[in-house]
Amino acid sequence: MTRRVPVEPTLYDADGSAAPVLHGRRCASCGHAFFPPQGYGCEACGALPELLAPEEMPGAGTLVASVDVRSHPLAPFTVGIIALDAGPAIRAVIETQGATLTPGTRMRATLVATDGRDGSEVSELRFVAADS
Amino acid sequence: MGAALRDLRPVHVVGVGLHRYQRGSDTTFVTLGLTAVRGALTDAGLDWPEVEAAYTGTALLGFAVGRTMLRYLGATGIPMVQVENASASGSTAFRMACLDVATGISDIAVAIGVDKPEMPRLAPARAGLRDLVGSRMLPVTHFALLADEYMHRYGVTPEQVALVAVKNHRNGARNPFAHRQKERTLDDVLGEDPLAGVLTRLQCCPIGEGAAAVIVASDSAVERLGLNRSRSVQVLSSVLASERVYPGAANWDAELTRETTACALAEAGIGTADLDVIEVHDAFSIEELIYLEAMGVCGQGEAAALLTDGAWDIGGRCAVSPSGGLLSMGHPIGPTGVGQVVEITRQLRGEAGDRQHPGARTGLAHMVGVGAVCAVHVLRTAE
Repeated sequence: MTRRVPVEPTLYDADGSAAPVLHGRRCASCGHAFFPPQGYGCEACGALPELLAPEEMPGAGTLVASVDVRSHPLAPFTVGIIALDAGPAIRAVIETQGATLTPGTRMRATLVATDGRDGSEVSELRFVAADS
Repeated sequence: MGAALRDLRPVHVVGVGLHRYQRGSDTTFVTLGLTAVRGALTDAGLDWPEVEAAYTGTALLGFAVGRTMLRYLGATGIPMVQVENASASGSTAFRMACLDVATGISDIAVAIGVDKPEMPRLAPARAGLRDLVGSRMLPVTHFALLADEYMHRYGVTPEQVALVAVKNHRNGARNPFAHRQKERTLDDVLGEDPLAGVLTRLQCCPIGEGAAAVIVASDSAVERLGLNRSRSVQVLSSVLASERVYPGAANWDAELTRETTACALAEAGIGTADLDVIEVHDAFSIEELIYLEAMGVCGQGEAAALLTDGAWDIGGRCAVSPSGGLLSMGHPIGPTGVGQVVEITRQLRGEAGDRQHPGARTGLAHMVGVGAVCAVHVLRTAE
C-alpha cells in the first residue's frame, strides 16, 4: 500500500485556489521573514512571539537546488530548495513532470491531490516549474 | 569578550588511544571505552590515578555512561561528565577537557568518545514544528541538495565530488582503526544507484561503534610526571560555535564553518597556509569540498580541481582526512571528534606509519553537529 504524507493546513491555504499562499511570518521588530512559521521567538533578534506577525507569502520563487531521492520509504520523489520572492529559502517537494530542473528555474506552488490518512483526498503543496 | 584558550595555561595532548570503529557488534560500550582509555594511558605513560577529570562524548547510549565504563579503571572519585552535542559530542568533550586544564582546575584530564549504533531521539523533530517535506529530508538529502547547488555554481561534476570518497577510502585502507579499510575506485564509488541526488552509498559515512580517548595535561603535569615532551602536541585553539541567521539562500553549513574556523585560526595565531593536516567533517563527500573552501584553505569553487591534482592527498599541499575521515574511518558519533584529535596527534608526532604526511607540524580538527554546531581545534607539534 502506498504511503502518503498528509496535508499541512497550518503551512498554506489549500482551498483549491489557483495560486496557493504560504503562511510565513515576519518579525515586527527586525523585519526577519521566515517560513515555516513558528511562534517561539525571532531567531534573528529574539523578539517575543507576539511580534511575529503572520505574512502571506506568494508561492513563487527561484530554484536553488533539487535532487531525486531513491532511498526512502516514500521514494521516488524530488525535493528542492526554493528562494521565495518573499525572502525565505524553503524546502519543498517538487513535481518535475519529467523535466530536469536546473538551479535558477522559476518555480510556482501548486496543490496536488493525494490520499489522506483516512483515505480521504487531501491537497498537498508542492512546487512545479513556473512555465509548466 | 572572553578569553581564548591561548590566554590561559598551555594544554598538551600527551596520550591517545582508539578502539577500532566497526559495525555494531556484541562488544559492550564498556569494553570499547576501556580499550581506548587504556590505550591512551599506555601511550602517555600515565596511570589512571593521575587523571583528574573525565569528559565522555556520547550521543546514543543514554545516561550515566561515564562511570559505568570508567569504574573498572579503579574508582578514583574524579568528576565525570557526559557531553552530548550531536555529531560534535566528542569534539566538545575534548574542548571541556582542554578548558579544565587551561583554567587550572585540573592538571590532567581525559576526553573520551564512545557510542554504539542506536537510533537517537532527535530533539529537533520534537520541537512541534511542521514543514513542507517532513520525513523526506534525511541528512543525505540535505547534503545532496548542497551538492546540486555547488556543482551548478562552480561547474563541478559528480565524478569530481565522488573523488573525495576515493581519496578518503585510500587513506582509511591504511588505518587499522578504520571502519572501512578497503580502497575504492571511482567506478566502485559510482557503481551503485545514488541514494539522493549524486550521493552514492560510499559517499556517505558508515555509522557503527567504537571509542577514542585523548589525555591532555598542563606544563606542570608534564614536568612533574616526566612525560615525553617531544611527543606532546599543544592545543593552540578551541572554538565551539552555533549557527546564526544567515541572509537569503546562503549555504548555512558553509557559513558556520567559515566563522568557526576563522576564529580558531585567529586565536591560534596562524593562517590556512600553515595547516599541514586537516581532519574535516566529511559525513558526505560534498562536505569536504564545501568546508575546505569555507575554511579558506583554497578559493571558492577550487577544491574539486585541487583534489583531482592531489593537493589534499597525504604528501600533497595539505593532507585532508588522512585517517580516512568520516567516510572511511567512520562516524560512530561520540568517538568521531576525539578520533580526529588522535589522528592529528599521530600525524604531528610523525607516528602515522604509512599514512604519514611528511613534515606535518600543524593540524586542524573540524566537526559539525546537527542543530547546528561547529567545533574547530588547532594543534601544533612540540617546538
